[in-house]
Amino acid sequence: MDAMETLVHETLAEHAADAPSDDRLLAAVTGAPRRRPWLAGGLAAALVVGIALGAVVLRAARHRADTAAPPLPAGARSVSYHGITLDVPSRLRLNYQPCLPPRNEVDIFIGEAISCPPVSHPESPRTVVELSPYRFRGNYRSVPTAVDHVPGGVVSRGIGSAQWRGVTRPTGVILAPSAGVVVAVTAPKRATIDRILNSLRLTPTDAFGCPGRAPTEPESARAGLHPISADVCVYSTLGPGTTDSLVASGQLAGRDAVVTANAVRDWIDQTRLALPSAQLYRITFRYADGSTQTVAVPNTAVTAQTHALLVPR
Amino acid sequence: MLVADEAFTAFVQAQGTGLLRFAYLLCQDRARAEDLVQDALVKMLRRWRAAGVADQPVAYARRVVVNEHLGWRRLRASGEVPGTVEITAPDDIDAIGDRDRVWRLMATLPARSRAVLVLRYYEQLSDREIALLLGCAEATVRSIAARAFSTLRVHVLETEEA
Repeated sequence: MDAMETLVHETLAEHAADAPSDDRLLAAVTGAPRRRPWLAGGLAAALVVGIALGAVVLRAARHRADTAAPPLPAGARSVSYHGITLDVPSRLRLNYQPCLPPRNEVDIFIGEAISCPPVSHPESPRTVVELSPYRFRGNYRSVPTAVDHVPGGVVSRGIGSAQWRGVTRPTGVILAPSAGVVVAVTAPKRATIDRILNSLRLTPTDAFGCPGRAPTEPESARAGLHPISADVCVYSTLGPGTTDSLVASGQLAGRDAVVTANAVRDWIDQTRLALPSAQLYRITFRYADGSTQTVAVPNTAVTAQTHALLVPR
Repeated sequence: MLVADEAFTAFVQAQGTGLLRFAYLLCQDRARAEDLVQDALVKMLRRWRAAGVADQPVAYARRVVVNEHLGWRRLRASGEVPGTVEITAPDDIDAIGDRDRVWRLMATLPARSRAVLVLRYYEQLSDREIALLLGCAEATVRSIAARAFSTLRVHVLETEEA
């Protein structure tokens, strides 16, 4: 094999591990519960099944399972960025592009202070999560990483030490080239780094149905009067190459959903101001009759209250 | 109403993982891979006692999975979007980046080309076995593989030189 053939062989071998599990395969075909191989000989003599029904039921169950969000650890919340989702401590706050050029490698900073983290806290060990475009992975070249499988795909992951503005700190790094993302984590406790690193999954959409990158919306629609809830995706619109990153998401219910719908309607009816905005909101309103309506508006259209609920700072 | 006998059950338990991996590499979609393998196994079970099926079940299953996949691709031809792969990070490349790029490039190849690469470099089949499975001549297999590699090389080199 030449180099390219070897590369193809390695690529296929690596990605084969991402294939779905065969746990439910036999049940899907026969409707039978899965058995251990050592039991199979004795039990499998006469399985009489309705094949079509079994397959349909299993597929429905599988699709439900695929869309269900995993339970979140206590004291944690999920953050999404491009095609990844992480669980981080709830106390951490979030900032977009905290470092102005020329040090603008970091797209999103999640930490215990709102500023450019290396400048503000060069010596104090705090929990900091940096999310950056993949092209900046070289910043963490000193951290040894190994190919590792995570839900949804393959990443390169490891823990070592890296320089944070001249100070060497324990640092966890995840390189996720398929999502175009580098994650760097430092924290006072190694267990915190481990927990954050191990929570990463590659997700086309997050727990609130938000795509990792902003979809192109044809036009903003007028929200209805009385939504019972609103699923909100917040996308960054700042900076070259980062204009469509999912940076926050969540669900508003009851009065919060109604207030948001009113704000969106007012904006569409009265102003439609094309002011520069830091974020794009994609909001799916849900109504009591089961219908839904999705709108796309700049953050200038949404109340400060909504913003505070979704983007803790 | 069909009967899954001991041999069929043992076959699914022994080969299920391999078939799912094979199907996933063909279609690069986990849900679709499950559907492909389930459909193939249902077809196999219906014909389990027919000549040739139980004798060479792995070969038969692979053939059904490939044919289902190629048929499905034909049905939704609009889903085939060759040449639209987005290649990022053109600077110094590490190994995982290379494999990720090849994986995404393979998604842009015609389904038949990808099937040839998977059969040759994952299942380790000879060109003769691939030709039998796909129902074409050995020369056709070699031609498909050569075109696929030409595409991969051009894109990988372009990226490395960028």
